[in-house]
Amino acid sequence: MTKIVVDSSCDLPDEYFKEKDIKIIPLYLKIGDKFYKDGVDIKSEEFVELLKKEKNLSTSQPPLPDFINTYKEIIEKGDDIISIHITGRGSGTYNSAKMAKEEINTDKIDVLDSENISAGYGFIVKKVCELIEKGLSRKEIISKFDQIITKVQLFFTLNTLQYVYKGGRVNDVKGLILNVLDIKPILHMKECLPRIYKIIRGRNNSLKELSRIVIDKIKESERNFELGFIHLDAKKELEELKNNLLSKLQPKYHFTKIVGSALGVHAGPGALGVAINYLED
Amino acid sequence: MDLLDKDFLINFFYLAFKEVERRKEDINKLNVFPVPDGDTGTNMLMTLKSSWEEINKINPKNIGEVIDAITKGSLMGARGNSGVIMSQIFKGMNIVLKDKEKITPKELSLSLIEGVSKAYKAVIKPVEGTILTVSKSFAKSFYEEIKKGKSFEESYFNALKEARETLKKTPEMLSILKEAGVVDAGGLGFLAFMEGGFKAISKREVEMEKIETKEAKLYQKLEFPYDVVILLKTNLDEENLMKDFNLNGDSLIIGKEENLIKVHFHTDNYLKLIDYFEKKSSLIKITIENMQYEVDMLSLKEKEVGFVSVSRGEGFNKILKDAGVDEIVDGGQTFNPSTKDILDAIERINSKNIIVFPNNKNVIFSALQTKELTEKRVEVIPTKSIPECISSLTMINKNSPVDEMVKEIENIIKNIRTIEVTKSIRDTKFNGTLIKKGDYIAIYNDRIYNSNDSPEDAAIISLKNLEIEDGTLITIYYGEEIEEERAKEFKEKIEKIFPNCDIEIYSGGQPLYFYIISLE
Repeated sequence: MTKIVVDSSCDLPDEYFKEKDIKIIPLYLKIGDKFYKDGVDIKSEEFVELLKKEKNLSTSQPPLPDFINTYKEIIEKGDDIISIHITGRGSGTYNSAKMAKEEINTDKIDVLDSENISAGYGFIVKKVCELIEKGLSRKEIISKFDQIITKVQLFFTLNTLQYVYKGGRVNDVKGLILNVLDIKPILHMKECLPRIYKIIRGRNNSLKELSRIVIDKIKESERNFELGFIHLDAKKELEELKNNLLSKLQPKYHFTKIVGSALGVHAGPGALGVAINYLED
Repeated sequence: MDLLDKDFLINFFYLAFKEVERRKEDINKLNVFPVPDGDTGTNMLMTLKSSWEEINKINPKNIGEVIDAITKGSLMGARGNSGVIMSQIFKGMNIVLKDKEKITPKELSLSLIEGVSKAYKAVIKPVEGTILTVSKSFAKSFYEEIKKGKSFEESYFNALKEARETLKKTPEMLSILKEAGVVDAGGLGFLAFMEGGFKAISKREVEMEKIETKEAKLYQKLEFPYDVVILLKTNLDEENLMKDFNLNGDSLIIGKEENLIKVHFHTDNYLKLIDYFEKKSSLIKITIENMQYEVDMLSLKEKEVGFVSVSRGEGFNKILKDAGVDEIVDGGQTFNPSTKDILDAIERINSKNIIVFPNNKNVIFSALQTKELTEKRVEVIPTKSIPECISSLTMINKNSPVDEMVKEIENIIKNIRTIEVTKSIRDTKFNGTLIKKGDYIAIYNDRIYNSNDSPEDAAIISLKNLEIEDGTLITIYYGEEIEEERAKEFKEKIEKIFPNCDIEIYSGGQPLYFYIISLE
């Protein structure tokens, strides 16, 4: 049986991970000299408070042994593994997973780069999970993977640029240092990194624009689809956006999730987004 | 064998320094690493000049005193990376040549080896393909030739040849040089220095093929824009001084001169840097240079589209620059710039396509006239207020072709309404309303709302009379006559009246208009 391993930046409902027996390797949060496991030592509810308070919060990829131990445990039970991770261009996690595979020296593991983050990454994992359930072999899934990742889109907006500047992961945003004017960018994943899709003035305007973009993209595709709603400390706004979208669109499935802390560090409070998973008919 | 005396070294240094001066611009043009600010030649020259001044000041009696003066001068005057590295080379030479009356060429070559090694140690992360590599290649070759028993002149000449070959290979060692299609600027500076010095040794012309110095074309946003040099006094040794140093940055170089230490660093936060050293030592001198400014100024990249905006008020000017305006035309008290003012701004921008934002009905015509007076393609967007320009420039995709951009902007300004709040200068009647001289009036298109109470009151009356959808962004730009505190109170009032809107407030600094308010 093929098992899926992900890292904690993968956003899908907690029950989904449990039901499908997907193993989560936590990323680490660093505060001063101390390390905390994302989602294990620090739950998402506590995280927001911490993020607002702690100036020196950063993230780091899981250490090699975390991967090796999880991989070995699964292999020893006679299963094999598809290990899918957050975009390798934004994090060293994918690389560590590959090194762990080499360390174990086995052909029972495939390490894949989702080239996406958060709920975008989540939908890619969900698709792979469904293919395993359909009975496809690991090899067949690998050969389809490049296609799978093109069927997912993620759009999100930030309420403050402070965190994304500090994190330094969105190069695009760096070139946009505005000293006076407050802006609300809408970002999307492009070439494995978050990039600016559009710049908007005013929070409400940016939320409206985000809805408009999602509706346009779905209409354009003429496909069935699923939606993933994510937010960090923006529950009320997300509910409004969700209700608005669900009154106009009929997704086959949708879920809501608080953004994992590893990503939250970069996005900051008020981050809010929608992932679209286009379905094959 | 002939011994080299103080007059030789002074003559050598003078000729070397003059050669760098002669080729300063060539060196500047090449400069792309570590920061493409085109000032390597200038920095090196300033460093050497400081040495030259020191020599003249102390009137040295022997070789030891000459090199001492060179070292001291260069340490005090060191500028930029390559300047600091040169000063470290001299410092290393000084260790070998200290107190010497006269020296042999072999001793000179040994001192150079020591100098280069000192320079490598001073740079925290030495990078090959730079002045370090070129100076190392020279020193090594010079020393080996002397050891083989070749004459001073021959050895030096061959070392120059070797250093030149190394310089040519620098693009292979450092990819940023290759991308820019240049050899290393600091390396060329060192070579120029040594070639100049050769004139003190031989009448022979340095007849080697010229190294091409084409201009480096590169534009980049600097991660660590501030070049900071701090001269400080401390009893700590270098290790203890730097023990807790963990600031982000690059090009850290530390030079020591008796009880003075010179720290050079590129950082994005000079306050933190100064703070760090202030806690550990007493600061003597700090120089900070924003290299981004130089990079921007030197940017040779022609812009696809340039933006000209007419403006009035310090605050507005800042925001417009922020939003991406290339040239601001001052509208003056009456917001009435001449066609020539606008034309001059158009011509100043390094771009063939220009979009002009007149930001006032009365300026549109003068802006349109520029079209016939320039060879550039000029598009005039009929913006009636500055906020229309601000929002357009913030929101458009600046990578679009001009035609598309113009369409995008036209769509954006359709959704922006602007209210201007000022004072009536005479009694007048408008749509049946009597407006007295001195009344506060809020103007939206052809509607006027008045209040004899306050500009805030007039603004609120007008806002209440316009249809404002939930979620609208209301931006308030307050004028030069309004204090920040008062503007903030006004903002709070508006927030209470329109709880479902986003309210932003900025200083526009405009005269005559208490408030300019945009709705979008």
